Amino acid sequence: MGIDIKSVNKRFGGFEALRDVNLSVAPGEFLALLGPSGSGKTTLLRIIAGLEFADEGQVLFDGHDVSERSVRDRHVGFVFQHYALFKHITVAKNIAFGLEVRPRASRPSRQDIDERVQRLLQLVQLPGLGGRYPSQLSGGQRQRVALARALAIEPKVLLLDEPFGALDAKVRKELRRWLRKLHDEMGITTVFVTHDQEEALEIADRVVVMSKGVIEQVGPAQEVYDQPATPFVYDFLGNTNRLPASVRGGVANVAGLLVPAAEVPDGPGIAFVRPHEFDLRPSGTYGGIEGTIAHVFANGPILRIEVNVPAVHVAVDLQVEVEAMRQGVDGLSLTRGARVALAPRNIRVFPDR
Amino acid sequence: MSWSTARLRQPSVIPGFRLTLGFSLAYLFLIVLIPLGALLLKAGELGIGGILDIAVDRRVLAALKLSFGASLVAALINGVFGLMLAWVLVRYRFPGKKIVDAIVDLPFALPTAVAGITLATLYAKNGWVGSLFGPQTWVGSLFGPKGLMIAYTPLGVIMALTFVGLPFVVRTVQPVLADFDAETEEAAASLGASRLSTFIRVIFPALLPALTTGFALAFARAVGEYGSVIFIAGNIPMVSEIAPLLIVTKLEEYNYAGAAAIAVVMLAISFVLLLVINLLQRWNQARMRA
Repeated sequence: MGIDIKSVNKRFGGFEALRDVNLSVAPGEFLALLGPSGSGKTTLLRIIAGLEFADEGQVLFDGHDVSERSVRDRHVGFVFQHYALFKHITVAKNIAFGLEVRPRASRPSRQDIDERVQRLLQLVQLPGLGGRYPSQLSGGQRQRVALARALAIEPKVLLLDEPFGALDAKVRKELRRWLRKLHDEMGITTVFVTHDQEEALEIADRVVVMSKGVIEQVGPAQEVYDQPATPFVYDFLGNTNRLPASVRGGVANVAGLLVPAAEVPDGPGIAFVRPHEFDLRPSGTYGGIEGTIAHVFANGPILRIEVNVPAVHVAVDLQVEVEAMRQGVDGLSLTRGARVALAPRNIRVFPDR
Repeated sequence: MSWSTARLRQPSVIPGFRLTLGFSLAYLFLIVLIPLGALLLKAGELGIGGILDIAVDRRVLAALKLSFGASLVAALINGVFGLMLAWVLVRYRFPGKKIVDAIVDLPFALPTAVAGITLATLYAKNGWVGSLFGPQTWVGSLFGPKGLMIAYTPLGVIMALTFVGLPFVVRTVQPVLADFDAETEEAAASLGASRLSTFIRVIFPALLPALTTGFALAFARAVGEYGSVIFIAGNIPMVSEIAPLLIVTKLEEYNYAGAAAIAVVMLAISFVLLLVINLLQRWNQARMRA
């Protein structure tokens, strides 16, 4: 099922949680809402679910306006960060809940419900645990029960609010890959909220980066990472170096290096380069920023090098972080105090607001 | 350290096991067990047969039936309305909420005799409230030619017991309800459950342990209540005479052993009832935690 969000606004008292948000989710898509806390990502998810209502704007499911419908009637599967399982009933009863509360006319028979519960327990890889209580399960198992419970009502959309946020790193990694596989098997439209960029980039088809109630960028995970549309996205996704620049006539001067910046107005700017997007060259090479090595940290195959670059616009020396594979810098002397040239493979200049 | 304490004591970083346990036991003996022991001793003068003779006396039986029956009904009423009151106080915001919250505790603070006299005055046939239920009023005529008598009937006893037991249910349920996770309710709604079925299937089971505790406390308080009841009850033997009053009556007749015997019977019944409630509670919690 496709979801369309049209000009949604939401305020909580004086706080603007969402500002004119527009978004389309394609049927069968796996979409991540990514942003820091307070960016409005959870509010947006809850508005899609019907747990929260927009002040203005519409939510469409397959073209039908569902803005006025409550969560009860939207038929979505919702998974909460802290599982929200019913503690007083067994795992099997938890999963069956959505079927058992249906009015008699549309309720499946006892036997059908039992069969479906068994199938779902198999699906979430917890066969034989139907008789346990939620308190007897680990965090990862509980979240899988929560997922099975949400899937039991055969929703057309699956919404997950930081589903792995409360789990430890290893379980989180396993579970998110498993979720992606599950999604590929079932093809159900899935939207999940996360503040973990690694999680979003790894498993989502498309990533929506949000900040302060506004969508900053929407795109395939790789594209969002490689071509951030705004300084915020650059900063939020992965490490980055911020280099002051001055722009004149569509050309930016970044510590002596001239870079094309056609769409940036004249004046001060900021250039962004990720640490792994620098090539280290011998000092004096054309097309590089000259600097002095301050520190070298070897981390397995990766070298993390801090380079001091003489300041152009700021009082203190700039410290630039560079990441290089060890075999890529053969022939260069990487000792403290050695001079090198930093050649960016990918650099973007934004106006400094 | 002697070998016996060495075995009792689990190795633990929390200090003061022997000190606190010792003090607790001494305190319990002094305040609870010695008086109860003395009571048993006094009643023992009559022998088991003697106690049973008193217990099956018609007047005593009627009083016991009224005491426990009315207490049970009062605790049930408090269970229902206490839960509702706690719900309103936790879930909604309204002007005067703090005042309502404070009023709940008043039955604790008021001397019970004052409460009893007030209730008796209000609910007597010619009292403010009692007169509304008289035979000549519309409401009263619903209850037959004589109207509805509240004071000097078992109804009045239930009235007074409900009054003194009110705070228990509210105060035990309130914090549990306040801590109840909103996400759990949202989860139920997202699965298609109506408000009513969310309450019955999700919220109520979570409140049940606290509700049972509040019910048990209100019940226990009602069984032992004396001051607020005797004024409104009218104390007609076989009709509206409660067991605690009968004990006082026996004392006034210098029948100390007889008074102690009734007390022991009450004690035994209360103990069994509270034990059963506690066991139910344990069973329920073991199921949820395991």
